[in-house]
Amino acid sequence: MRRRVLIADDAAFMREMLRDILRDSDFEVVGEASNGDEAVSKFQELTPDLITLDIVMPGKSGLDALREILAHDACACVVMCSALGQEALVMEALESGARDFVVKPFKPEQVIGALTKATQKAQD
Amino acid sequence: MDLEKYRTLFVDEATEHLAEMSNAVTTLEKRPSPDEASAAVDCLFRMAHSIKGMAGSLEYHAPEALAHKLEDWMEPLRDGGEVDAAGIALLYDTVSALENMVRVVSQSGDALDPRPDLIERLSAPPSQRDSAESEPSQRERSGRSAEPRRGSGSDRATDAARPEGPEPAPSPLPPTLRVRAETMDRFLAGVGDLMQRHARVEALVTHVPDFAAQHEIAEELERMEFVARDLQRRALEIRTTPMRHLFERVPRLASELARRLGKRVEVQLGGEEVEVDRAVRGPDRGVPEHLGDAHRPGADLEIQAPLASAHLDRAVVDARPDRSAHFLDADRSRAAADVERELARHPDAHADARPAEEPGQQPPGASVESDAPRVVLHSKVHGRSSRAREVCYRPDLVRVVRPDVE
Repeated sequence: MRRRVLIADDAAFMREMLRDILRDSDFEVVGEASNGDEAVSKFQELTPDLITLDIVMPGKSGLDALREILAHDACACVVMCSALGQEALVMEALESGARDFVVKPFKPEQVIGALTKATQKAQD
Repeated sequence: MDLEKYRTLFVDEATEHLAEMSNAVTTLEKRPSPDEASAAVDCLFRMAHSIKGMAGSLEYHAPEALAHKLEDWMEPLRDGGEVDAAGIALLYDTVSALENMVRVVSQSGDALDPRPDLIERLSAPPSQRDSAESEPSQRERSGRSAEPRRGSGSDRATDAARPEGPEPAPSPLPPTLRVRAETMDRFLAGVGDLMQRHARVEALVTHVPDFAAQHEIAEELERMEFVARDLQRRALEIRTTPMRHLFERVPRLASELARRLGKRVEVQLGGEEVEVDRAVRGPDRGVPEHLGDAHRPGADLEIQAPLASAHLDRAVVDARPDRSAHFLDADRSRAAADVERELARHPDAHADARPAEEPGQQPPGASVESDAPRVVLHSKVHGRSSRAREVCYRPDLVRVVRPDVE
């Protein structure tokens, strides 16, 4: 059965890219969010198996959205999407409970690898 | 990966981001409140970050590197502080450079100029404006520095008023969808076809022999017409966009002009609510990036400027579709009326100032002194709506009228 994924990124370009990467994989995109508030509300509404969360988003940041999601569901499986130069933020996200991270620009095998690893961690 | 699809997505999204960045820089230039400044800085940071990510994904290394450098340069400003004039100029230059790069990607895909000059300038941390300079000084009012001000609304020039009290938190943007232009055109054509068939059925129903049935069908047709017209109106709303989106660049042009002339600039915008076809938008956008750019002949869109009194340092952008010669005269008489109206609104202005008939001509008795010499860049659109697809600007008519100063 395909894992259900929610994609959260303020750039439509990035959401489209992730959607394309995941199209023929074990992951099914069930929803998209373009800001932190929407990421939290859609997570609560759709209860996906995984969420990919961009770190820099308008309004509520990815880090704040991560904390809210985990406050709602401590077992939530969150993979952060970061860009070069955001190592400190990535570390903070991992310490806050994110399962893994992927760095932009996305490489398909790295994205799928990170989501697979995060899913396995959740199962363990 | 479908590179063509992503190239289009990149161009579309980067273009929107750069428009937001341009507006944010204009905001910073106006010495905004701390909350406005924070929002503008945050916008610049996020948009640069987004452009960096998209460009990197497509291996457009020049915009990726430049956006990354800009992002790093903005970082210290996220803790507050005002950007000085040099910083504002650097921001405008960087946004312009990124716009050029996006345009090249859109048009030709040629190798991009990495702009090492901007990379170097962005390597120095931003110097911030002295917080003691909270009010414009007399030195600035005499025209040593530029401060664009924007007016909007139905043909009135108004100062940008600062709201009193704390700024309300910005509401989140509503979700949007991207639709191809040809899909929208097919939809509009379908709605038009629907209206025609409705009219045809309406004509045929009169041949129905049963009067009761005829009446019932006519009532349903009336309801159907209401729905169809509503559908048509909504389809047109999707296809068209308010003119204000074309005017996004005008304040920045004014700022550029102000820096070149060393004068204050006042921007007057009118008719922003007029709807035009979205096809007018795009890399060219209908507004020249620099005042020297040339564009294609226009259609139904008219953008004009007043020929204002010669005692004020004045730069005029006179732009109109290429039409017959008499249009120019009509434009000038309308422009003269605009100036008269403006002078009547500002009783402190020099009473003997009158519109010049020809560029450079001094009206009789015009004073060469000006308490606040300024430049007026005026764009005004007439008409209720337009399906204009192209816009023309006449950069050869840009002129600066300077008074003879002893």
